[in-house]
Amino acid sequence: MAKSEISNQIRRLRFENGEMTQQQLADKAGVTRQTIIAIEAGKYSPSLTLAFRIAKAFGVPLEEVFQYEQESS
Amino acid sequence: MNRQQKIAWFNLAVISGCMMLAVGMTTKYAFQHGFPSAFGGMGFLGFACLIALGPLLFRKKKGQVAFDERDVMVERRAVRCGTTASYFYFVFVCLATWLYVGFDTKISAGLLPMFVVGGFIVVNVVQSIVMLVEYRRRGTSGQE
Repeated sequence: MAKSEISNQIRRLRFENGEMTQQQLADKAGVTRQTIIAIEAGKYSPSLTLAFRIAKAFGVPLEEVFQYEQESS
Repeated sequence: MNRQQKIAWFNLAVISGCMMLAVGMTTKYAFQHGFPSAFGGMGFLGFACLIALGPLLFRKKKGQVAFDERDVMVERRAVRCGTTASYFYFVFVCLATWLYVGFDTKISAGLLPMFVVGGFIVVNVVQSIVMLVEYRRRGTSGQE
């Protein structure tokens, strides 16, 4: 059975954007710092709206922030 | 620990404290005055209303996001579990009373507020525990 997984580049993008802190990203995206932590750790999948807001905070397309990987067994 | 987790821990601490106080005072009164007067000690469960102070004590600074989509999701799940638990609690309590006292016996009206307070406690305890478990599952710790 195929297993799907969403990965993200948030940590890398934060450091590439003037070493943005999680709090700064959270403020730009309109969420709490804990939510950004959970998204970075892959423990929480953001809503579409939030995903777009995070991408906008970095000024990059959505696909550069979040990747959909499908593994087939 | 975020605001919701702090409130959940606060709720559990207050309810645990009230239950210990109520049981302790009921036991003390039982030795002093015997039953049924000792059941007056259960009135200390009323201090559980102090959980209403939680949102006031753990306020966030102005401008900070206090509640986002992840918090909404966790709270919805906690409320669903709390409501389910309260349903089972009330069914159990009513059936247990019915079976214990029998079909043709009257019960004291003083038991009814006890059932309601018990339901309140069950709902809040279950909601708090589910909230803490869900936040742990969905990740809250991390470093910048």
